[in-house]
Amino acid sequence: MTSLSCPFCGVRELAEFAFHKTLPNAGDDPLSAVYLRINQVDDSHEYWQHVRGCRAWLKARRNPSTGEVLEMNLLGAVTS
Amino acid sequence: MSTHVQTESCWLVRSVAVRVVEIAAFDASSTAGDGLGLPRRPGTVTGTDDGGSSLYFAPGRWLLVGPSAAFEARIRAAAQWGSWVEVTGKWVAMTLQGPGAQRVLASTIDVEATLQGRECAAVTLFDCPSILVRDELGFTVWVHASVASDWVAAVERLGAALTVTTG
Amino acid sequence: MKAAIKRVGTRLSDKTLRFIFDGREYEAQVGDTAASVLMAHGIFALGRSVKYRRLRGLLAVGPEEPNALLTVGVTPMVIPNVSAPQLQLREGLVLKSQNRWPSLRFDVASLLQLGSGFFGAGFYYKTFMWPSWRTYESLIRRLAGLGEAPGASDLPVAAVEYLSCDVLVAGAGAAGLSAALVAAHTGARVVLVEREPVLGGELEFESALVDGQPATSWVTATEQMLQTLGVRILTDTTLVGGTGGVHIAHHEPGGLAGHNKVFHIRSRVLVIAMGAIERPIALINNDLPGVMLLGAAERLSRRYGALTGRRAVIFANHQRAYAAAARLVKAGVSVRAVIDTRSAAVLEQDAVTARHCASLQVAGVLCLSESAVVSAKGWRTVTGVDIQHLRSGKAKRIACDLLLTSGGWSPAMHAGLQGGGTTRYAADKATFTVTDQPIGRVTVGASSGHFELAAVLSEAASVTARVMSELGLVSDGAGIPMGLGDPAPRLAPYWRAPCTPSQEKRQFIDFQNDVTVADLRASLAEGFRDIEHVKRYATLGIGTEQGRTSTVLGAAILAELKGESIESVGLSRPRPPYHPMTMRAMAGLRVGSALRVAKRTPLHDWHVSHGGVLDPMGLWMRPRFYRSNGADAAIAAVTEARRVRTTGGIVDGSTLGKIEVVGADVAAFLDSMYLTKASTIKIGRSKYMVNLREDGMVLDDGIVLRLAADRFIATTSSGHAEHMLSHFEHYREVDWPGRAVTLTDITDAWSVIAVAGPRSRAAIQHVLGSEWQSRIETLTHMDFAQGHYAGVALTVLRASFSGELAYELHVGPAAAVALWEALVTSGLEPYGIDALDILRVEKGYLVSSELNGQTTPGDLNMDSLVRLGNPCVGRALLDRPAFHEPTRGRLVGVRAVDGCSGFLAGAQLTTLSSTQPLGYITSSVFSPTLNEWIGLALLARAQAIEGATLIARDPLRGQETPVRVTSTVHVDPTGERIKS
Repeated sequence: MTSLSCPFCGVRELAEFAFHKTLPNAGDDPLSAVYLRINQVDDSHEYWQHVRGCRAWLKARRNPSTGEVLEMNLLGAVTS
Repeated sequence: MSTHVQTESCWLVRSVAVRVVEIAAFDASSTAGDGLGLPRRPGTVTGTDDGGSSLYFAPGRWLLVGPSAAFEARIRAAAQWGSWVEVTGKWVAMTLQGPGAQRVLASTIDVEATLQGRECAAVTLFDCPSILVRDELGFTVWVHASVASDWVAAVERLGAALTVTTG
Repeated sequence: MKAAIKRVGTRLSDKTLRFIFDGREYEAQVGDTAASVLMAHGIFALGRSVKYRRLRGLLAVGPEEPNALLTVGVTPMVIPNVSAPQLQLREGLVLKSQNRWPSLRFDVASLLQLGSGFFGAGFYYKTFMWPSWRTYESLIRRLAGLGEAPGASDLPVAAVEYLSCDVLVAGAGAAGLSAALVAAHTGARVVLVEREPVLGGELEFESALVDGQPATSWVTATEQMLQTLGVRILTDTTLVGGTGGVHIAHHEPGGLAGHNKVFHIRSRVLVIAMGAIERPIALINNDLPGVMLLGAAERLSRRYGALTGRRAVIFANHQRAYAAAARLVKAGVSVRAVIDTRSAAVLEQDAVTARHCASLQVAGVLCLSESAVVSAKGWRTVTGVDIQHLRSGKAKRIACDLLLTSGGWSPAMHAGLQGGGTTRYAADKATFTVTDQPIGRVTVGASSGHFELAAVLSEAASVTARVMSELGLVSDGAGIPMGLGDPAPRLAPYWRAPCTPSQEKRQFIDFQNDVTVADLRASLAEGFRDIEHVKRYATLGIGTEQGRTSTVLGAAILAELKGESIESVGLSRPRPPYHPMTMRAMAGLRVGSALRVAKRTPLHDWHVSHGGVLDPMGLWMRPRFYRSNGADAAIAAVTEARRVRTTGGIVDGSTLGKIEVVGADVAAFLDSMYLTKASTIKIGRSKYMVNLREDGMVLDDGIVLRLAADRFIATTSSGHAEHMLSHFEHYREVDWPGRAVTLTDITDAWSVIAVAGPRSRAAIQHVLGSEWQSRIETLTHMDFAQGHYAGVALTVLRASFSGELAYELHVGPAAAVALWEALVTSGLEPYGIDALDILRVEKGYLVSSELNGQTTPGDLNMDSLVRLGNPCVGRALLDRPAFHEPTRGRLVGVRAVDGCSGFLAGAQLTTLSSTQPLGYITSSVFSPTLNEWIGLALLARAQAIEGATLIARDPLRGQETPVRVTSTVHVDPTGERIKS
């Protein structure tokens, strides 16, 4: 994986993006919400930020074993 | 393929003569864009009255360069659409002109892919946060003021190979 | 100086130049490579091998050359490991052979092989065990490694270019040109890279016709056509790797690092047409200088006329050897024999071969079938070969000075395979080809195992047309070129000549790493059986070689030794870069001062011109102190800090992070972001606030100003501004979607001048003039006022990071220098960051030493803020039991018991009787106010009692200082100065 497609900016070098974390597990207590993560080899739900571009926060679905991006959406309500 | 990089304009931007207002809409901005007469397609640039321009560089965020007093007043009043923030001094503008201008930028990004179907793009150039604008004369690059001198130094380092002049 | 007779070759001009090799001057013709001219001078030995220090000559002519690596330049400005056959000579170039001392002819370390025999695989690890490996390490390290590392870093920075296209064609031989023609005719954007300075590849050698015209004319016409169609052609440029649709190509004219350029090419389609690499046949002493690949000899002969008059024996297992032999004879090489491993019956089946044999025999060339060269003879170079009939065992010796072997070709597809894909052995072609190509990548021509010109041209065109049509691009008229070239190789797999077990250690497979058949056998015997294990244990195909000439031969011999099929042995995976690149080229533009950006404040130039000593702190360049206050940093800082407390001073605080937070919902949003509430701040007031991470640790602190009901400015630590912006943005998007919260980084839009000291108020009033007089008079601690200075926006905030009466002046950058100079003129002298650090430690204020990501609000004595119960991010996890253990650190002050000894941050705190650490010192300074060393420390809660005595142990500096636990506020504990 050498690039990602930002829904606003288009395809950009991977170096422009920062990985934040995978989405928390659906645990109710605060400890689980902070520390328990979904960790699936072929379907990972992740937060990214296009931090060296438009700064948009992104929600990605990715297959980490192939690098394939299954879905990439702006995280906030703002859409172009 | 020579390129001339004009860096003096940064002082114009820092002075009171040129006002740069960044406004950011908070809701579905397609309507915000309509309401304020701002560009709506990502990466587009529209001229405003008095030779100012509006850059749609990030989701729900526009950079207004040198807006007229009337336009600025309209923006400030449009609280139902979004919020304005004074950013005069945050960005320094550089112009790159000459047949080699694109090659200078290609040392750090894929210019064609970045600007495909758009006139401006928020992008990191030579490790500096920038907004790249393509116009008839070449390129204008808005760079964070704190790294502007580094940006010029990076371009100057390419000088020997790409015949870059600055000033 | 050695002059040479004029040679004729396709790459040569009549002009001459001079260069130096191992201290002697030589003459070359313009166009020569280091390898061609040295071979022409009869210098076969071009270096020594890395392990056995055996003399080595040229094996291949191309970047795959494993032996003839030279060092270019003069110490310390050297470039090691430049491939001699790639190195285009220039006037005055200084070249050195490698891995020898004191000279190429006589090398001390080579005596090792006489003394102890050959070191097998694992030799070093098994032998140098007593008393320990370290005893021998430095000696062995001196002998190890390829060439000499450069000692200087002022080579030219490699140029970099990012570009994108629809189709990248790697290789401009018959296949690449055919593919590029098809792609270009669809209207696609095509980039064609070719590692040689000219296009055509093997078409230069084949006595070939394309579309009825000589192949070389077709190449010229095709190049013109491609240019007309807008194809970007990059010569001297090699695809070295790349993944995920971005391909790295390295432009290195003449093979000389230092004039290079790195291309990052994003393409939808990659067509790998990089040809094939000829592989040697293993036989005894096959590493003697003078033993080389048949294709290398053809190149040297045709391009550079370098082998004229040499006596050669050709040893091969395929049909192509005869056509090559005929061309060499025509070029003036005295070919003595063609030794073919295939049986006479096979040869006779082929009419073309029979015809070739007949005409070669007429020319005096001995053609032997079903025979093998078993051994190369000679001391420093080849003087003859031993030949054996494979069935009868009958032996024969032929005198010669060149042995040209050819065991077939291995597709060169690995540079393109870095992005994934596997290889499979194709028995019919006796070679590995690529399988399961990812979308958007194809191999064509010899890279996919096609070795006949007609098949290469048509396959490349049809495969490219297919992949283009998948993109929706259809060719508008490029026909498939019709080719007629050398006949099919009709190769019969043959890997190594017969030998006794003891001779296996002289049958070389990997020349660069001195790997022999015996090493593979040893590797298997010791349990390293998988091809990837063998690669590492026997060092097969490591280094810059990366298996280009050795890997298929190695796999085949390993299969033989294991009694398995080549298919089941497989290939080891080569590593990028597939062709060697300097580290400097990989670094691209990020070299020296361009390694990272340096942020500068608007006052930067003023600091520089007024004796400020600037250091990078995070990304910012900040003045540590000013030379006018002392040449020594410690003395200057103390002087500056003392002056602030007695009269006053100014410091550049522009690096302070500033985020403007605007919108109807922001008060509630900020409440959720900070440990205490922002919504209670009155307009025109500010508040010291702390953020937590979601796990409860303190993230950052800063002052939050409320400008209006819906408008705040949140300040952050200098190094934290960008992270805090991302942090806020994240929670806005996750927890506050669609709400009126606008976050804007305004750090660079406001310069900050912090004015501190008893005289600060009077100075500001004087500088800002009458309109500000009364407003400043009425500002109480944490109040701010907004207005203008010289027509530029100004905010005056009464806040202190020194414990003194102090103001922060936030001013537009346009007026920053003017305001700063006016303050200096009014009698306030500037101080640096070192003095600021003294002042804040005296007051117990926090910086990153204490806010280190491992401290909770409780650790930092903020329990009262937590008790306010604001449900912010991170609040829920503060009640974890571990955060309240008696062993957990809490911030305290420390001072030396004797009132004069020093201690430094990092020192461990223990009781008098134990060395068990109970905490450590986070910050320490010499306080000019108290005239003694003071510090802050994180100390186990159970011990954090004021008045307790501990030892500050600093074993690295050999210091042990008895210290007393104190309040964190060392100076003015009641805060009278700050409120004055």
